[in-house]
Amino acid sequence: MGAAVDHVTPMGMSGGSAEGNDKSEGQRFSCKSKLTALVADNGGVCRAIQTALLRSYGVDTEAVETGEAAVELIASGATFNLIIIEMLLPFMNGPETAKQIRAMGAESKILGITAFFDERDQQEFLAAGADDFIEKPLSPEIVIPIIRELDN
Amino acid sequence: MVGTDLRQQLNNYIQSMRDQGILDSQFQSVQALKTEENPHFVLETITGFCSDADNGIAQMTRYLEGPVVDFTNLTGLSHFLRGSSSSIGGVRMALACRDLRRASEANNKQGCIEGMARLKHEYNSLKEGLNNISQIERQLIGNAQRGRQ
Repeated sequence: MGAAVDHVTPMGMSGGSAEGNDKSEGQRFSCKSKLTALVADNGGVCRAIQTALLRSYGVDTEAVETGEAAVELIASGATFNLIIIEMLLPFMNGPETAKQIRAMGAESKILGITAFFDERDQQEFLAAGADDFIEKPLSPEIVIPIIRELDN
Repeated sequence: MVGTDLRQQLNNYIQSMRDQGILDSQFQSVQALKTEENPHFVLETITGFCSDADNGIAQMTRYLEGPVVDFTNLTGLSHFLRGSSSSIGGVRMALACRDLRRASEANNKQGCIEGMARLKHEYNSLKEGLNNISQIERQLIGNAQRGRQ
């Protein structure tokens, strides 16, 4: 992905609204800078949707199934502007993954994500170094402000 | 135009599912991710979701029907299925997962039995609708491919 990615028009799109748009604002949107993201989610459907959503806004996105894979990727030198981590990852959970990523000096924005919002989980994730914690689904209304913030 | 009629049929069908509360606006967000480069995105997502849900519900049934109820794994799977159902826009199924999770966290077997029954009911409604959507999607994709030839 390069800078100033063009808006993508899907084929056969039903519903009338163009993809990659912030439907709530009714305006076209794509990131201006070259942004990168990592999605760590053991759910295939969630991983696919979150990845496609970020890519639709021009964010170069990779996806892994486990916290260990996310940590390994960053340990290998990969850097990301945004890292989205599921709370209940198998073996190494979300907060532990965030903690290890921060311990390596990563300055990415880390977004914890979960199926069921729980204040204790939120506290655990934030204490581990996450910047925010949200309940699924990851929607355009949530993603676009984050990308704008990173873009600026 | 056949294509326009099919798209309208698809839109109407999705709206009827939204009117029934089976789907919410998140499904349209998923539809919006279909591109020329990946025209099968919606189909693949529906297929993946149904596969996960079929397997997950079967596992949960085993955990519930065992000699000792495995509440921990029931909780984990209800979390997993709530994540995927909410991500695809299956709002009533997501709510059913929430209720089941509450029961399993409370080690409430009867609550889990009732919750499981509701989850299966909501999933069956959602699955039927998604399968119908998939059929129309396949026709749309097929028409588009024939149009390019």
